[in-house]
Parts: sequence; structure tokens; C-alpha cells
Amino acid sequence: MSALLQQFLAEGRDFLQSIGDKLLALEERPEDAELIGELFRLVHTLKGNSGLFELPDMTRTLHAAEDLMDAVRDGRASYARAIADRLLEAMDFVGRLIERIEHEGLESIEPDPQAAPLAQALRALIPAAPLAHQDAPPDSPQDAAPDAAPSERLSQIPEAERMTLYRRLATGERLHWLRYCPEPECFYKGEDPFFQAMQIPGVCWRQVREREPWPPLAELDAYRCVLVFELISTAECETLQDHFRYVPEQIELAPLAASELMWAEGESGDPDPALIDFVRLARERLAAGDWATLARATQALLELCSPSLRQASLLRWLHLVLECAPAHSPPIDPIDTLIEQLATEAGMSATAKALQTPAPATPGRTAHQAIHSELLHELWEAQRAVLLLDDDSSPWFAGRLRASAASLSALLDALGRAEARPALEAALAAALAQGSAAPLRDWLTAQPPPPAPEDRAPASAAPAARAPAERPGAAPGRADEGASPSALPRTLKIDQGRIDGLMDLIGEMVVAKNALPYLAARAERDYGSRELAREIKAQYAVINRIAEDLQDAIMQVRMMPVSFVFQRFPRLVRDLAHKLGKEVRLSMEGEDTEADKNVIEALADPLIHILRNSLDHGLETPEERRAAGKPATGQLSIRARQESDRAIIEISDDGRGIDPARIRRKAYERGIIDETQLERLSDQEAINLVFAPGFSTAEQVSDLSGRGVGMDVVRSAIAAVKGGIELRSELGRGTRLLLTLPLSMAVTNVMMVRAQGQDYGIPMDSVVETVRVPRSAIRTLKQRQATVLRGRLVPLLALNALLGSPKPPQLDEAEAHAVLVVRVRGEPLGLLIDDFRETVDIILKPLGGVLETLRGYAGTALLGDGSVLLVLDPEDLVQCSN
Amino acid sequence: MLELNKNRAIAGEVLSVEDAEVLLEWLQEHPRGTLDLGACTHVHSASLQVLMATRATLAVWPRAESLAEWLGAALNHPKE
Repeated sequence: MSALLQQFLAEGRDFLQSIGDKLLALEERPEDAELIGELFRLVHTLKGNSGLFELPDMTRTLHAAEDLMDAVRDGRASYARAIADRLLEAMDFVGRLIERIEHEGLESIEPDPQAAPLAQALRALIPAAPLAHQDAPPDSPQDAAPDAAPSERLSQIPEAERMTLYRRLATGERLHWLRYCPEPECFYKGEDPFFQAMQIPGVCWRQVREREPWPPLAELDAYRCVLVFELISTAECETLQDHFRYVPEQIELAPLAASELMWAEGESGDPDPALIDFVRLARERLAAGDWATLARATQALLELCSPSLRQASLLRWLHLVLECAPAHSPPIDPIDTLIEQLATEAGMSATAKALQTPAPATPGRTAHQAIHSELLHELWEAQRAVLLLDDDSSPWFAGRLRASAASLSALLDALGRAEARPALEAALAAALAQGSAAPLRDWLTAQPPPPAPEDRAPASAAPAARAPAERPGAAPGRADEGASPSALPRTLKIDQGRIDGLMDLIGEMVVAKNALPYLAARAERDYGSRELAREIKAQYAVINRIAEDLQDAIMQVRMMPVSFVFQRFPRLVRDLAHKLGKEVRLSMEGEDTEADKNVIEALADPLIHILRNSLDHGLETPEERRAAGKPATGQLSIRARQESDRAIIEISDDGRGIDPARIRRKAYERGIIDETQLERLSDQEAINLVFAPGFSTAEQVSDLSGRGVGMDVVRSAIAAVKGGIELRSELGRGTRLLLTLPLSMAVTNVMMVRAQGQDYGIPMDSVVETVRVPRSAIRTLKQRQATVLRGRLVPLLALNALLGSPKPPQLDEAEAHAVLVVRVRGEPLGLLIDDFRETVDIILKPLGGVLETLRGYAGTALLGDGSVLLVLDPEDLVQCSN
Repeated sequence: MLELNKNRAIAGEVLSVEDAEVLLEWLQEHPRGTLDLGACTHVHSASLQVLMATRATLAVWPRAESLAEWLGAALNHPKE
């Protein structure tokens, strides 16, 4: 497989994932133009990439998807669930193709009969394109720059003209905007663009300009055409196209929409109380649909304010819209937009929708004021500092005093405290006469300082002022289509095998390092060199530290965010919910919580199983939910977080919950519990029975869950990565599952214990405590032994017996047993052993080959002295001995 | 036919493509010269470019309404 193809496959998968995510996000926010644009670009890029290979099916499907997204982006088709379904289906198809190429190679890909219907289904959703789009040749400038802001092409038209045009549009006339850019060499072909332009019928606005600034006259080449004609015509689209039929590539043509004409010109004025009142009234009247009052109020305010102001322009537009509209049903949207713009103008809370305005938006006044007051404050303090300077004898002293007084006088003006000026002047005169800054200083101290800005942090004020100005330039362009959707991540994609190889090497290093203390002991014991032993130990400490850092580093590399598993859930939940006729809202939190790759990967299946259970058994149908007084849409949430060295994943739903009575009955029917247990079990214990092997509550086996694979599988899968699972449920209120998982499982901390003359390891995870219990404190109940620890009865088992040896556990000198208390299935259990040893960090290797089937062992590890430590799995050990 | 005087250039019915060069030269030599397009019914694009680039002053606007309107749009000042 070529490197190029490999890259395509890897990227393709990422693209598909992003496309899927975006599609689902769009279901939430179908109006999000940015999202639609991004989605289009992803599909477009993937299609382009697929074109590099001989993959006609994939390219065709993606092309259809791209066209469909294009239609959605242009507003020709509106985003709907049907579109999402089709697109997801198409992406699944592409995903399957990618999988197949990966496994069977590019050559094995045969034409797929599915491809054509898929593409057709996608195209069926595209509404017939308007003529202008159909007839335009693919490379016309219009096609190349459809994002050119409409306001840009109309920005030259003065307001009065725009209003005339608006009136014509309002009467139902159809207008077209046309731009004609003749090529520079056209004169040599006998063309006369000006003549051509003058012959256009129905022109109601026109503009002729030069494409580039005119050179000095001496260099002007009159025979190189740099003219651009722009005009608005009443002629039909076809007529105009026909007029330019020989040079179709030189024109841009678009129907003119009323909303494009509507933007305000003029300067922002000072906040006007009348305007604030007007906006309040207008919002109210708009809500009430009282158009007559609104029109009258608009007219009245219009007469009051200066016509050159922006607010006047907005009011004129508002008036015009109301005037042109049919009496009882004016278009709400433009009116609303205009009123909100007026609100912005009035400095009122900006719920304003961004309106297409060719002039950069004026920064909010509040931002202005914040900066303003900050500056005043700084200037004031600066004057104080100047007056405190102690060099009254310097030759520039008088000049400095005057300058400072002048600054203060201006500051007083700015603060609106002109009345304090005579005092300032008197103080200046006194200071000059005395040759000392003292009188001015005293005056300044007596003055109240300018109000400190509320928000002293300039950082917060500055962006607020800058942001609106940046917006016009940040129009999302298509120029960077080829680039990846986000900035290039500074990450490496490394084959997992290499990481694992590194990991094994570090493991060996740890083992080799652990040999040093043995060597030190030998140096002292066998060769009698204490000096050497100490040096070896010192070296060991250094190597040990490096090895630990290495281990940490490699752990970090192996960490993966849970989003790796979570990312497929939105789709899964959506599809399942549709299938089951349920309405579900999935919320996910903490997707960036990290854990070891193996842990994360082991999570996928159990989590999917849990989600299926929730959807199938937990959440009710909308009717059932309504009947139970709950909102029709069920909530399903997955939250991940890190708590010290554990990752916690919580899955909860607000469904019907688990009925303990029903569980008891089922468990009894299936012979999992007997009659006495049936009575004795607490509700929580009953709920925990769902983890029992062979337990499934579903009344009937459905397509989704209840295939006999129960929660016991989930529990053992979680246990396999040393995780725990906890189930809480409240009848009628919902169910909550808590998974606790280790962050990493590469290095295991084990406690070594001695039994029948051999060392065994027990994972520290399951160790609760180590105690010595006098023989006298051990009770025998029937055949079983137990002891009381802190008021609690703890059953005891001899490790020897569990391992199949008849030898009794050894007692120490004080006639006491060493008891290692471990937790098995959440309950404490004491293991009688011969003696405790130290704890060690080991790299646990599972038993392989013929030993694989042995029960009771978690695996083996190599110790520093080269011996092999058998690591026990207490839970499994107890279970298989029963 | 383009008639060039000391201060005034008087255009005939058409200000043609050939006239562009001549007009440009004359306007460079007579920066304050004005134009009389009264009889004009069409200005070729090349000549139009010269009028635009030199910001020539029209003393007499074309009587032909359509041309006057278009020239007004091109020269950025309304017909007089």
C-alpha cells in the first residue's frame, strides 16, 4: 500500500468522523451557517482527496453529498432530518469502502451497486437550481466567489437610490445585479464594452469604474481596458445572459434581494434619550403588531434627529419598510433587525443581530467609555507625579508648571468640571510667584480625582473595542479549501506497536534496575565490600529516578481521551432512538478525561452495551413519559472525570429505573437466588443482581439488547481492566451507573506475600489492610473460619488451601496469623498467609500459552533478581475455589 | 471628427477608438482644456478611459440622454 493511500485512509477516517460530528451538531443548530460551511468544506476536501485514486463510487457519492451541502449552504435547500439521514448513510458507505481498501487493498474494490442509488437519493434532495446557477459555466467568476459579500457589490449605491430600488422590489418587480469586467485585450478584438453596456435594457442604476488605480497620464495605455461596469437592471436573467452570450465568463449576475439594499449609512451620534424611548416603544409595538403606531413614531423621531446620523438612516429604512409593506403584514424580520440596530445605536443592550454593513461596525460606546475613563485617570495621576518632582530650581520649572496646569485644565474640561478652572489658574499664578509647585500640588490634592474606571483591566476593554472592527475582514473565505479544517496540530501519529515496543524496553529496564539492590547486597555479603555496596546503591537511586520518569513519560504517551470512545455515541444514540421511536437528548461531559489506551479501548463495548440498555429498557417512549408526567424527551448523560488516580465515568438516564421487586422475581425464576434470599435481599442488593451471570430482564429479546449478553459481561469487561462498576437506580426516576477505572495499567503495584515457602504477588488495588490476628481470636463457624476486626466479622480463608495445598498456615513467634485483608466483590476477606513481604512495582504479563487457561492468577512478573513472581487475582481465586 | 482648439476639444458624432490616443495627448498638453461632447452619441470605451483617467471637464454634455447618463456614472459627477 502506498504511503499516499495510507495517508488518505487515515485522513479519510478523521474526515468522516468530523463530518458525522458536524451533521449531528447541525441537528441541534440547523441555522448555523459556519457549521454548514465547515461541513461543506470537509465533504469537498474528502471528495477531492478520493479523486487521487481510482475510486469512482466513493467520488461519485461524495460529489453528490457535496452538491447537496452546497445547496444547503446557499439556502436552496434547508437542513432537515431527511438530509442528515441521507448524508450519514452516504458517509457510512464511504467508511465501509475505506475499511475495505484498508483490508483488501485498492485493487480489490469492485463497482458497488449501492453507490448509484445513494448518489441519486442525495441528489433527489437538491431542489432544482435557479437558472443563473445552471447556466453559468463552471469557471465563471460568479462561481468562484459566491461568498463575496452582497453588501460589497451594492456598497456604492447611495441610500436614496437604494430606497428607490427597494420600492420597485416591493411592488413585485424583479431586479438583477450585474457586473461586467471586460478583458484587458478586448479592444483588439473589436469589442467596445461601453457600447455593450449601454445597450443593456432596463438599467435603473449604473456605475462605471476602473479595475485598478489610473497610472500617471504619461504611462496610461488607452488601449488596455480596465473598465468595470456594474448595474442593476429590470431585465430578465435570460435576457441579460443572452446579451452577454459571447462573453459569459466576464459577467457576474445575481437576482437582487430587498434585504441586500437595506443598510444604514451615516455616523453614530451621541446616545439620544428619545431614541432609547423609541426603541422600547418599537419593540413593544412590534410584538403587538401595531404597525400604524410604529410608523407614526418612526416619522416623528425622524423629524427630530439630524438626517446625517446613522440612526436617521435606520429610521428612514424602517419607515420605508413599513410604508411599502402591505398594510397588515409587514415583513417582521427586517423590521426587527432595524429596531435592534437602532437599539445598538442607542447604546442599549445589544441583542442586535449582526447586520451586513459595509462600514465597519462602530465599537460599543461602553467600551469607549471604559478606555476613556482609564485614560483620564492615568493622565490625572501623571500630573500628580509631575508636580511632585523635586527640582524647583531647574530652568524649565516654570514651563513645566504651565504645561501641567494646561493638562489639568483640559482634564477638567473632559470631566465636565470647568467651574474649577479659575481656582486652578489662581493656584498656577501662586506657584509661579512662589517658585514652588506646592500651591498647584495642594490644589490637586483638594480636587476629587476622576472616577476610577470600573474595570481596571485594559485587557478586557481593549478586545471589546477591537472585535467589531475585525469582523468585516474575517469573512470566511473559500481560499483555503485545501487546508485542514483547523490549524495543523503539532502531533505525531505513531504506530501503536512502536509505543508498545518502547514500553517493553522500559519494562526490561525496570527489571534490570531492580537487580542492582541484589548486587549491592552480594557485594557486601560475598565480597565484604561495604563501600562498593554503597556506591551501587547510590547509582541505583539515580537510575531508579530516571526509570520512573521514563515510565511516567511513556504512560503519558499512551494516554487517550475518552472522547475516542465517546465520539461514536451521538450517532449511536440517535440511530437507536429513531429505531425505538424514542426521543432522547444525549449530553456528554469531560470528553477530554484521559486514561491508558488499553483502558479506553476496553471501555467501548461495555459502554455501548450500557447505552443500549438505557435506551431500550431504561428510557420510556414519549407517550409513557408524558403519562408519567415527565418531559417527552428523555435525558441520557455520560460524564467523565478524573479523581486522583482513577477515571470516573458516569452514565445516567431519567428513565423508568430498575424495579427491585421485578429483579427479585426474575432472579428467583431463573434460580439465581433461593427463597430465603428472596426475602432477605435489600433493594440495592436486588438491583445488583443484574450483574449476575445469565440474568436478563427484558421480557422479550429485542433487536438491540437482551440477546442474552447481560450486565455480567459488562462487569467482567470492566473488571478485566481493574475497574469497578456501581449501579444505583430509583424506580420511576432513572438509573445511574458509575464506572471507576484505573488511569494506567502498565505498572502494577503488588504486595508480596509468602505462602508455603513461595512468594506470591497480590495487586495493591485489592489489598485493604495487613493485620496479625492471634490464633485465639479466630473463630470457627461451622467449617469456616472468621475473626472480628473493628466490630466487623471478616471471613478468613487460608491462601494455602485456596492454592490447593493441605499445609496449614504458619504461625509467627507470637502465635499469631498474618492476615492480608483483601476486598472481594466489595466485601472484605482475610487471607491467612505465612508472612508479609515488601511491595514492588512490576510489569504484569498475562499468563500465556498452555498456562492461559489457569484460573486464579492475574499473571506473572519478572523480579530484579531474575525470579518470576506469580501474581494472584484474589477475586478469581476465591470464585474458582468455591 | 475631433476638432482640437486651444482650450476646447469638440467631438463629432462619435468619439472613436482612434480618437483616444489623440485626446490623451491633447489633454496632457492642455491640462485645463475642456470638452464639448454636445453632438456626441457614442464614446468608445478607450476614449472613455481617457476621459476617466484625465478627469476631463465636460463643458458641454452630450445631448443624447442615454450617453449623458452613462458618462455621468463613469465620471462620477451628474450631468449638468
